[in-house]
Amino acid sequence: MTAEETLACFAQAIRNVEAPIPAFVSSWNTEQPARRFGVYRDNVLQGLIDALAARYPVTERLVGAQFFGGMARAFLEVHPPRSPVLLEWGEDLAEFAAVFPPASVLPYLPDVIRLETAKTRAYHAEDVAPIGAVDLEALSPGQLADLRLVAHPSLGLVRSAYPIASIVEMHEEGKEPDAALVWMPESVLVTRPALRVELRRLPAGAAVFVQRLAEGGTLGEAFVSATASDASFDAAWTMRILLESGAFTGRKD
Amino acid sequence: MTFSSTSNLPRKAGLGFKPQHFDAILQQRQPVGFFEIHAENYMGAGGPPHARLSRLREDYALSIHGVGLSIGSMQPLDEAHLERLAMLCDRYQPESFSEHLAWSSHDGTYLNDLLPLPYTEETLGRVVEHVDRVQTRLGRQMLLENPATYLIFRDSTRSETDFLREVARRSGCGLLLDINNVFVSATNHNTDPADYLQTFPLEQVSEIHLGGHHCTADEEGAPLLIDSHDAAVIDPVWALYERVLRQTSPLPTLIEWDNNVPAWDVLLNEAETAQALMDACPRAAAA
Repeated sequence: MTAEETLACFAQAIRNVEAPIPAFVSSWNTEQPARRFGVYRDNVLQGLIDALAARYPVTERLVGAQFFGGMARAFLEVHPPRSPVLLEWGEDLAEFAAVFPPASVLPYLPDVIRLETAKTRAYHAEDVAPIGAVDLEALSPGQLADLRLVAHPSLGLVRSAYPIASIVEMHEEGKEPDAALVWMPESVLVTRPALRVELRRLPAGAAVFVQRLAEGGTLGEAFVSATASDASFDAAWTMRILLESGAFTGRKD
Repeated sequence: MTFSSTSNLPRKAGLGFKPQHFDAILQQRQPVGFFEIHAENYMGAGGPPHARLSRLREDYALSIHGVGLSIGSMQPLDEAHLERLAMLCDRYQPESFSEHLAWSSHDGTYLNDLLPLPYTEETLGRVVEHVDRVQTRLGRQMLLENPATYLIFRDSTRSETDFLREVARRSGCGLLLDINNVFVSATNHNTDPADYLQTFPLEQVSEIHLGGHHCTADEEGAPLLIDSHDAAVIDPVWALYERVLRQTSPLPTLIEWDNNVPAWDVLLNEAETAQALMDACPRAAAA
């Protein structure tokens, strides 16, 4: 057996708890060091569950540590981390939760996870100064309509049929769930203009507007889409929110 | 091989940096020689982690300690990960970079633990290649740390100390001596930690780690210690540290406390204990 085969067998036995303890390991007092090998199995499994919980603290509090542990274990089977940078691991968790049978009683869970994913992404995003109102002041209405903006690296948008921002906020550390939660759809803008991640609820039209801009549409195109989807779309208010939240970094030429 | 940059942390007690201590640390100049971070926690592009680390870097020496490079793997090194480490070292210019004699990835899957390897001619050759590659890419000497292990490989033909000595000799790397790991492994293998230290190439050691561990037992009722970094350093480990200090000059010494992280003053107290032992060591004046 080459050393590579030895480690391959070790890795396989770590990931499959049903597998026998490899014959090439031993200890001073036993030929079959099951408990000792189990330390590595536990370290790997629990370490990864803890890493996912550290990235999704709100989701963990929402579903409870036991449920989260079960979901993380099942997730890990299909989406093990492909790199040692665990702060990036778990991007597929929302899609996984959407088809994870035990989570079907929590239809809002995938969107809550999406929002938490967007928060973490924003937290670690590149530091770039956003544009301000002054950067757009000199533009004529025609120029404004043709303008395309560059999304800030921290920009995230999660549109949901559920009150996800309210759910996330009430499950943040030190908060108590609020029984008076109003069960309304919420679309949430996530940004980090400086060092703090900010969440803002957007009306339906504003969410469409941001989405079109983030996809590379012009302000004019975004305006048309937003107005078509929401008659009460308020362009001036939305532009103010976008500038205040630091959603964009510059103009695309 | 000679390097433009070798490990040059201050020969003082240092602490692992935890974000929850950031405000406490900034209150005043802290009596610590350096801070150590886990490289992988700083591999996002920006945000608060980098803001805090940049601020800390203005005032303190820095050790970057990798936990995910899988140097003990028999498969090729993860070049993408090595690039991330190079970027981090370029950005912060740490006084030291260290990694482990262990593996943590296989077939592209990251297993998030420091797993053991057999000590043979074959694994020695591969580890030396990997250490070479890391040092070449980073343009600096790295330190390799002795692992905490829970079992042994029947195939091993070399002792761990012999293996480490040979890696250091062939690659020119320095060593990071984790004395808690020495205690944990010796207990787990029913050997004497003093014997291990007796054969350890202390002249290659550029940093020491001290930490706490968790005690359990195997199915035979024999003690099984787990390297959990979640408690204070115990007296037998302090005693081994003093034994090492009697043979070396003071060395950069890190207190590792990564889980159940205590308040800043508790952590600082551990560093002060290490510093006091260093100051009292007979070779302190000569250093």
